[in-house]
Amino acid sequence: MFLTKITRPGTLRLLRRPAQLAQFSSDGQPPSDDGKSSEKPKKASEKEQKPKEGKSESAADRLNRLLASMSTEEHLPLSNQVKIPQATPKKHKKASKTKHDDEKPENIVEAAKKVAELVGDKTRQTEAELLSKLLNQKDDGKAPKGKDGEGGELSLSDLIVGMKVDRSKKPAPAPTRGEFVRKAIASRRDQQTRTEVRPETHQRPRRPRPTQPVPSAGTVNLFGDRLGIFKNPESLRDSPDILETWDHLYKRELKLAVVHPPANYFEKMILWTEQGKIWKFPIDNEQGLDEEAKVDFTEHIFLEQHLEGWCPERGPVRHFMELVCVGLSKNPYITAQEKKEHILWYRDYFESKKELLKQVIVDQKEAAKGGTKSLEN
Amino acid sequence: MLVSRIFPLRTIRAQYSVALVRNNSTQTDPEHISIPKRIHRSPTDILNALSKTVGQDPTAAHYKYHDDPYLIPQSNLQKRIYAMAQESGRKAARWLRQEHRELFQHSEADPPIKAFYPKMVFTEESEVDEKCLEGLIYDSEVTDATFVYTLMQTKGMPVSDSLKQSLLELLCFFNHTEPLSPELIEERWFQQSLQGKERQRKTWKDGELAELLFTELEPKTSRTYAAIIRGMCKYFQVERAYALFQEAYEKQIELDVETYNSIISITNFLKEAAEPRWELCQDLLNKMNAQGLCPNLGTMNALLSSISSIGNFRLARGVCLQVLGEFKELGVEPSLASWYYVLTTFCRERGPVSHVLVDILNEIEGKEFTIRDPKDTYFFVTAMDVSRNHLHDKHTAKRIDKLLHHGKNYDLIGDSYKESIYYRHLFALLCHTEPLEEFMKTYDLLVPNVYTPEPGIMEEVVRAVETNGALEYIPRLWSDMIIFDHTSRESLVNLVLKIITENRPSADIPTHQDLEERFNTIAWDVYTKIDEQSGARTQRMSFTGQMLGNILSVLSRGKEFEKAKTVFKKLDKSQHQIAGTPSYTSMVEYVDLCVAEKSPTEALDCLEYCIENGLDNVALARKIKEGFTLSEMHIAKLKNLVGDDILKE
Repeated sequence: MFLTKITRPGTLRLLRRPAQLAQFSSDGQPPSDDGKSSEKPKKASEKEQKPKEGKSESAADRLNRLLASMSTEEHLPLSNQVKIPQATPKKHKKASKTKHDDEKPENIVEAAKKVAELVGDKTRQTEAELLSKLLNQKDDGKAPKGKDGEGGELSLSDLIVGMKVDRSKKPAPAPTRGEFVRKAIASRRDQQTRTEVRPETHQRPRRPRPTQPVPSAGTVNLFGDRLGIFKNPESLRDSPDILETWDHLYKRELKLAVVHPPANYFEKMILWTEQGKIWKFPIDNEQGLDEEAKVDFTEHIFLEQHLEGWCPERGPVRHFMELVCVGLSKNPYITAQEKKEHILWYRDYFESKKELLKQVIVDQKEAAKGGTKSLEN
Repeated sequence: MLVSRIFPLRTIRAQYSVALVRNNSTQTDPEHISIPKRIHRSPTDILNALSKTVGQDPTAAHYKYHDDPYLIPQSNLQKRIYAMAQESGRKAARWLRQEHRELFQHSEADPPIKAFYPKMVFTEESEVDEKCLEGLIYDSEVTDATFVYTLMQTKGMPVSDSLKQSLLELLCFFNHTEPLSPELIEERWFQQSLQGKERQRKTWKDGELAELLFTELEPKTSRTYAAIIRGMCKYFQVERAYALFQEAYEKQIELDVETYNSIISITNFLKEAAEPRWELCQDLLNKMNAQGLCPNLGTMNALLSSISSIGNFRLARGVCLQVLGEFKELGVEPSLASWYYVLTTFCRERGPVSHVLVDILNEIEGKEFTIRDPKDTYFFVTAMDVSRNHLHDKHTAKRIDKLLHHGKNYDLIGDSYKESIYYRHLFALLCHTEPLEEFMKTYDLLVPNVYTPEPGIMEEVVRAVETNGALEYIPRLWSDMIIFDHTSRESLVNLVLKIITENRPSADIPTHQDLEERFNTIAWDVYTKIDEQSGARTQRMSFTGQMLGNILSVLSRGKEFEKAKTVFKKLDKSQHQIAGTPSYTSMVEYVDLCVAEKSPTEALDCLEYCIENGLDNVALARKIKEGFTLSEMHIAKLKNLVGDDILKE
């Protein structure tokens, strides 16, 4: 059940990855997704790969064995899935540059080795060349296989993943996945140290990052061509939007498209400021009192000017009105206009009571005269 | 006291150092002090500056959520529900104020705050005038404006032509539908995902007030035509829009740039085939040129959007570049929307791989963007999509991510839906291309506060963990899955079970120390979750033989005999409801545990089950025979089950 799902390309990549990593560090072979890279390195890589195929017979054997052991068993332990791609780099290693070749049963390999020994001088190189020549031809006949290219590898992985393997055939103490990967990494490290000692075995350029695209491959000159319709831009006139309401709504829409839930308190305050819910910075306690701002403070404070013309120069009325002015000048709650109206109300009031007041004053004077007289007396 | 003593000292020192610096820099003229001109700041400038000092903290939930462990959302559903609940509270308050406005007559603030006022309610008896209608149009109150206008018509009040024109523009812009209130930020953040589905379909309301106003307005000016054409283009009433456009052209009414842009943006509906469509575009551009109109960003984006829907890949690519070149010459800076269209033109699902994204990034990297086109918000999500599905390249993805987090560019992420798709692509890509440790760093950083992985992404992550054999991450991921409510996904649960069954933690690795115990917990967790799930759920998960077998294996290895017994009983009792049979190995492991626990009865039950279900029983029987000193009764049962042969050996 699980196996059928796994055949998606994404998962394949996943399964392949440890192998790829190990391989990459051990022999610097370009990764399989370099379909875009130029032809040259590819050819070089093919040449380099040939020695690896020295054990292709055994690989084929293994494959056949796997195929033969297909059964209806429902699932495949993980270690089996990864095993095959993982094993390859090590094989390659051996075939290409270690001395253990003679242990292998293949006739070709032994023969090649012998020939190489006869030739002498650069024994190993000759041997490798011979082998690669031989195996290359052999390979050409077949479908691309192993790690030759993306397609080849895909099909192999496909095959393996799609297979159901009888578990009784697998080596009895299967290591867990974790152990396996760890071993692979450890061996990779070993190989790395070894390769550092003998760098001359690496002819292929190493790509620092397997997934980095080749920038030159698809570079597009973004501003290359021209349409040639608007030939003389100077003659064209920029025109503002003729629809004011539409323009206003469009701007509103654009703005709302980037208004997101505030991410901190300051953003919240910005939002509230824009909605007019809080006082704007800089804080000013007369903010928004636009009508009042037009009135100068002197109009609020110096109110005696409104007394000119009607109020007597001195006397009790004057005295009273001055006190009114002082009081009003200290009142922050009413407008200057209201203050003026207040004062003018007194003017009218005193005007209407003029006769009465005069009478009162005269009476007072007389009383005062009487008083002085009595004093004199 | 102390503070006031310290501060002056500090300021003196600061001034002294400033003076020193000054002297060094302007030694030629030490006497001259130039006072810089006052910079006028907007009310929000200082707030913006302060806000920039507050970085994004991925370890904390978003600011909008309550800072309370019980109210911090984890799953995507919770995030949505909590935010919307908050907004719904605000909505309720607003509704109350609106319904009982007579109770809120007091005015606390002076000057009064308009945003806190209840909305005006218009009835048949309302006193309305032109000013009132103007205000409504300005505030985009579509329904009220329509009502007031009809009310004024019935009352026989005159409406000036310019006001009618404004109303026409409003109705055309919103297609007679009330827009979402600007106050409902959360709703917009979570809602916009629906817009994508609605587009590309005729939604223009035929025969409504807008068209009535259009016929009423005499003489028809270019503004009248422009408004109705733009409205019809915006809501895909393409045939009539184009007819009106031609009518205006024949009447020699000069239309403006924006109206041309609208017509260009619907050319893909007017002409099906690629060549005629491009010819139409060119024709329109020629008309603009003849009229002396300078095309703007809107023209470029309309052209590019039309080109992006051209099926002919080669033609589309060619003209797309020509348009970019032409507008570069005209001095029009492309916006993110332009690049979005370029991406959709170049990177097609079945087209050849194009690295145009790299070129675009070279062009725009390190820039800060403001919104200039409504489609600007589509760029980041599409770019990430391209780098995942088209280029499979984490380096471009990282460049995009860097650009997104540069300055205020994050505002252009769009909405919650686009944001989560963006992160979905990023995660899937990193999961495939990065080493697991690196990927888990990203995971730890972004999950769960910035992004909650969807079940599909979770599956990818778990598979990556499996491939890398990094078992130590499994308990962590499992607890995340519980929190994110993924445990009802059968495939995910099965995957986790499969991994913990097939991979045994080894004792000699430090990170694996307590893994066995944790795996037991996970297996038991799965069992209880499925066993106890209520019937009310729409999609119930049911046990499969495989699943129970895996649980049994894990529990057997962990020597959890009681739990294993329960699981086996379940397996045995409800054989008819459980699809499939467990694997043979799990049976063996269970029997091994029985042997260790010296319980022959359970072992024989297991053997019986194996026989009933056609699993290999001989080896199992042998194991039982060898493992126990069996009583008479048990021997009789064993004989009964497998026959005499085994006992004789």
